[in-house]
This record gives sequence, structure tokens and C-alpha cells, in this order.
Amino acid sequence: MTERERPAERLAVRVADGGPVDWDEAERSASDDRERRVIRHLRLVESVARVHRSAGGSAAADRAPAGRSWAHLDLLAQLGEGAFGEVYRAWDRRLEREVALKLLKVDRSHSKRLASTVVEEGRVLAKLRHPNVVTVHGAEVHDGRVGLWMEFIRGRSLAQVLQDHGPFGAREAALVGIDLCRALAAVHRAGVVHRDVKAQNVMREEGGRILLMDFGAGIEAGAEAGVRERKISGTPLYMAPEILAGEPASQRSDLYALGVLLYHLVTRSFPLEAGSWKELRERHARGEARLLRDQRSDLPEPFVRVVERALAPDPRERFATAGQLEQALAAALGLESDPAALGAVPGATDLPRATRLPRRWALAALGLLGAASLVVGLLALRRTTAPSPPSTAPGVTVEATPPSAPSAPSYTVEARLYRVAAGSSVPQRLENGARLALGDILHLEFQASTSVHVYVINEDEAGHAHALFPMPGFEPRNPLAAGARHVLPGTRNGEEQSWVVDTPGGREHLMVLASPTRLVEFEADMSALARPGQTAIPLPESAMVRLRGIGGLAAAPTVAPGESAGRLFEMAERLAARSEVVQGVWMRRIDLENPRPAESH
Amino acid sequence: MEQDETVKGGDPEGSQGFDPGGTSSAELVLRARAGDGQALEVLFDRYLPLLRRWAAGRLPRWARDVVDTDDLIQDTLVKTFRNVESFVPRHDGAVAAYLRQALHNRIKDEVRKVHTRPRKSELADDRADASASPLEEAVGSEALQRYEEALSRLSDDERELVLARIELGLSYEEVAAQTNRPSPDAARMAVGRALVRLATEMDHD
Repeated sequence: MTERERPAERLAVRVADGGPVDWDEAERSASDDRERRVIRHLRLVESVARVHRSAGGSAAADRAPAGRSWAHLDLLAQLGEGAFGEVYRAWDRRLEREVALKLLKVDRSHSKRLASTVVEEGRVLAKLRHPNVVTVHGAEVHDGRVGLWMEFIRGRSLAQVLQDHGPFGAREAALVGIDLCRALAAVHRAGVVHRDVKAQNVMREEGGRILLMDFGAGIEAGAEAGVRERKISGTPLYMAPEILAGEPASQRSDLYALGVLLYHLVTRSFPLEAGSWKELRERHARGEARLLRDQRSDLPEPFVRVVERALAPDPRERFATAGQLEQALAAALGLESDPAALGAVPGATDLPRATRLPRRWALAALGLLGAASLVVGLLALRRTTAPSPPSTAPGVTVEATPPSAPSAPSYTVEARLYRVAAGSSVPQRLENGARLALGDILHLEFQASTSVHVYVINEDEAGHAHALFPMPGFEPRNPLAAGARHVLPGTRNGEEQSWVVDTPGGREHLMVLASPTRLVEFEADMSALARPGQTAIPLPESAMVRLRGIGGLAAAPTVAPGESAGRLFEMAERLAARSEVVQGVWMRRIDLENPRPAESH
Repeated sequence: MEQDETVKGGDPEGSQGFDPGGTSSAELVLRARAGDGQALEVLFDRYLPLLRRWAAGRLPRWARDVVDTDDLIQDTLVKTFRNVESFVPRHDGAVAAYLRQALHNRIKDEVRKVHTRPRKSELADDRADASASPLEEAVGSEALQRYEEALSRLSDDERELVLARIELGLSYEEVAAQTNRPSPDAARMAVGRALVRLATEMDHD
């Protein structure tokens, strides 16, 4: 090693360490051109190392803690490690499924108090069931360590998605935002403040479901707050100014963090960046936050306005609740529905928005991305009762809004999903919280003001799908006549038929589409799907592609791995009983969930 | 005021938890080649996660839709362990470097193969750079080629050091065990020297 290679070697070791290097300074202090070039090459090597470190997940991924266990959990692999503790993939011997286990480090000085608070809050979270919130299975102290175990999610964090695919469009970001608003609403309702909403803590599951996770920081921060005042937890760049000033975390500070996340998703930067806490506080105080409109002037104004309001320095000027933010995002989404994304919808491009492309459209479209597990719709049990819903039933009644766009006809749709429980003869409309059981019989009542082609698909968490309607040999056939009440799947040889719940599943969704025009290519995709009574097969990607064309899906859907069965048969129709009027394709997703019996409440 | 780090992200020191404990990979390779299925299993467990992470930086996004990364890796591992007669690993670092190279070649083949097929969908690829791997996107394909060529001109020992630490992200302890260094610190210094050699080679072309 020559004398002049020594500085290069010091740099090289720093590169190998993965530590920070001031490359400009290093180049400036190079003694000659050759050394300068060598330094530049080292800088390239550093980039190679960084990409390899960040690609494919955390650096400590898949460390196998051979044979170790904690409580009733067998540790399979370490997924991450940090100041709070470690995260493992683990096998839960009681639930007989894979879980993620977070083992927190506990400082002896306040271990008892911390432990009890974490366990208490963990138990609150364990009661919380929401498709966009990672399911916490339990919390315990064991062997002197506090552990939280939860649903194991296969997917990528939004931080990774952002890194791999670059900034989101406004529509995609708003769709993610809507899911996170729903997640936060559920969390807040449970009396918990998340405290650490950020791109690393939101997963996009394989299959597209968006999940808010990592309550560890929030919980620990909560516990800490009682112990050591004003200790700040969370990630500084996502923090509301009042938190930096020492105020406790609140719903509004969670929503501020969500605003930062949306900003980050579309720009990859932050409203404010700073090198230290002091600088961050000062920059907040000086009002130096960069407006979103200055960073991305191409984004639709309504979306920008929503994000900027979420980021208002004064908490009173922000959205008060997650629901309010959700509503604003949905409205913004309606306003910015991208003509290209809706290109397959006749007449949809000229909609004067909010009123006629209501929020549920967006949510329905998003639903196609959402992973879900399933109640397999089996067919062909003869319906024992004639469905006769009282006309006063709180149905999905649609109010027509007169279209101003001349191109495609506007129409209204009424759709109601009914269940006849095994041993009963009374059809019940599926409402929120309705419970299903094996043997339950389902049918869909459908009516539209214009003649439409209707398609019904059931997709489960593993991405397996059944085509439930149209059915060969059945009446009615597409297109369904205007103005008449149709009962689906219909009749075969004069006998009424229904779908039957024959398999338990964690979560699933039914998708109902209606279109004044025949969706020829989509039908071709559907023809490849299993029919009720057959083993389900995955929804082909081409079908998802068509749906993307129809509904403006945001990301390439992939098939989610199945969650182990074992949750029981509580079905909840989460889709709000809202009406929708669109021109073109009408789409509705009905989410159904079956928590395990021990977890239902 | 202090800041708490949350658990995500892992250890910046880059320890991969690559546990070569027990039988050496070099020995397992020999056993696997002789038909020992269990040895092959152990090797799979040892290298699959490591190579999966490595491949994440090397596979173009669109290729990941067409080719299953795990299948690719497993297939490469089986071929390497079962069929390659000429490969006699001197130590575990050589195994890792060899596998990395085998997988690298395989990925290049796959990318060529897929290029000749019609793309199965144009829908998601409105990006011009979709054919680039994350690594190419980050550093540019010319620079990457320069890096690869320089790497190939290093001695086996130097290359193994670079690959183990820079590309496979092993901890210094693991690098030491893999490349017969007496201590993690010795491995660290050796990696530093190998990087300078690499950068110097990159300057000659």
C-alpha cells in the first residue's frame, strides 16, 4: 500500500462499514486526479452496497434463531432489530399459524410499568379488527420480556414500494390515504393513538391490501410518557409541530403524520427536512415547510389542498377526525379521476366529478387490489324460501343524479346481498356485523334503471376466485332487463338457485360489476375461473388488468398468499350501504370477514 | 432531545445473520454432489435467503413478474451443487462468490430470454427504465459494467471479500469465518484493501 492510497483505504473501510461519507469533501482533499478518480469509483461501490442492503428487505432479514422460542411462539427468523427490540417471524403453536413477534427491550428502571402498559394496550389492539390494521393477536410478559404478536404480512412497506417504483400519482396516493384513514379511525375509536405513521410502517401486502402496522413505538411511547415526561417517540420528519413542542400525541398529530406520508408518497421528500431536532423545531417555528404545490405543480389541486390542510401547523386547522380526511380524499379522488384510468368507461371522462363519481367508486376500485380470504360461494342449493325483502328495508337504494355529460347514459343500480341462515327460512339482508355460518345461503338482488351486463366474482385472501355470475344454463342471462328486480344467481331448469357458504375463510370479497356494454375481454377472463362447486383458481392477471382499465387500479396486483384458515364465520359487510350512480361501469366490492371464534367479541 | 428508532430496518452494520455454524458449506457442497439430500437442504437454508436478497437488487422489475425469483435461485442452487464437477470450493467464501456468479449468469440468461418473448403486458410499463434492475437504475448500466469488469480482474480472495461484504451484506464476523481471517477486524481491513484494489481496477480500462 503506497502512502497515497491510505486516505482511499480509510474511505474504503467506511464504505465497507456502511457509514456516511462526505464524498465532496473527500474528492476535494484528493492529492491528484488519479486519487480523485479512485474516490469516485469508491463512491460507486458505495451505491452498489446501498442498493444491495436495501433491496429485498431489512439487512437482518431471515436470521434464523435456531430452536428458540418465547412463550408459545417458536421463533423462525429474525426480521429486524432496533432500539425497541427485535421482530421475528414465529410460529404460534396455539393459533397454529405464522405470526410476527415483536419483543421489546425493557429498561429495568421502569420495566414493570412499561410492561403492564404495553400489555394493556396490546390487549386493546388485539380486540381491534380492521382490514387495514395489522391484527394484533396478543401481548404478554414472558421471561422478563414484553412481546406483542400479530398477523404476519407478506408484502412490502410503502418505503420499499416508493424506492422501487418511484413517486406515486395523486390517485394512487389518495387511495392509500383512504385506507389509512379507515385504519386510523378504527385505531382512534379503540382509544389508541398510533404515534408513528410513516412509510416504513405501512405495508402493501402481496395482493394490494394496505395495512397500518407497528404499534410498538406508539405503545412504548405511551408507556414512556407516563414514566418520563415529554420523551419524544416516532420519526421526527413525520411529527406535527406541537409534538416537537412537547405536547402529547393526539388523533390530529396522527393525521398530520398521514399528511406527511401522502406528501412523501408523491414527492419522495418531506415538507421539512432538518439535520437535528433543534433545527427541525426552528424551521417549523419559522414556517419553512415547503408547500406540496411547489414540489409537484402537476398534481390535481383538490388533492394538493387536502394534503396541505392535513399539514396545517395549527392543529385546529387540520382535519379533526380520520373520517373527515377520508371524505376529503375521496372527494379529491373523484375530482381527479384520471381519464386514462377510466378510459374503458363510456362517458366517464367528462363527469363533473364529485357528485357523480362518488367515493365508493374509488373504494370499489381499490377493493380489487385488496387481499381477502374467503367464503367459497358454492352453488346450486335450491333456495327454500322466496326472497321478498320488505320495500322499507334499508337497501342500497340509489338516487339518480342527472348527468350533464351527454355521451353515455346515466343509470341507477340497486344491489342487496341476502343471506338465509341454515335452518331458517327468512332472508336477512347482510349488514355490518352480520354473522355467517357454513351452510348459509346467499343471493343477490339486483335492479338497474337501464339494461346492464352483470358480473359477480368472489375472491379470497389467497387470490382464488370463483365466477358466481353469469352462470351457463341459468336465467336470467346478461344483459339483465332494465327496471326489473333480478335475483341472482337465478334459476336453472325452473328451480331457484343460490350460492352456499361451504368453506370458512378469513376474509374475502364479492365483487359486483355492471356495465351497459358487454365487457367482452373481461368475460373471457372470467370464463377461466372456477364455478361454484369447483376448486377455486387464482383470478388471472389479465382479468385484473382489464379491471384496472375499468376502475383505475393503481398497482399491479399479485396474488396474496392464503392466511391459514381457522377464523370463524363472522361476516361483515363493510361496504357502506351507499348508492352509486355512474355512467359506464358500476362496481361494488363487498368485504366479508370471519374472525376466529376466540377472537370475536 | 433524543430520538427513538423504531424497530424497522434492521442493523445498519449489515449483519445478515448468515449462520455458517456447523458443517462448512464447502464440505456440504461436496456431500451434496455425492447425492446427500440433507446436505443440499442445509445449503438451501443457508443460501436461499442470502441470494434472494441479492437477486432483489439485480432482477429488473418486469422480470420479477415473469420469473419467480425463488424458482430461479433454487434451480441455480441445484444445478450448482449437483452438476458442477469443476467447482471445488476452497472455503465458504468461495461458495458464496461462486453462487453469486452462477445466479448472476442465470439472471442475464433469463433477461435475454424474456426480451425475446413478447411482453405479456404493456399495461404497467409506461416507464422507459422498466428493463433496468434496481442496481442499474441506481448507478447506471455503464458504471455497473465497469464495476463488474473490475471485480472479475481481482484475485479470488479479494473478490470474495468484496462480494461477501458489499453485495451479500455479511457481517465482518461472518466475512472473517468465510475467508479465513483471524478476527472481524482483520476482515474489515481486508475488505477495505480489496475495495481500494477494486476502485483502482475500475480506473484501468
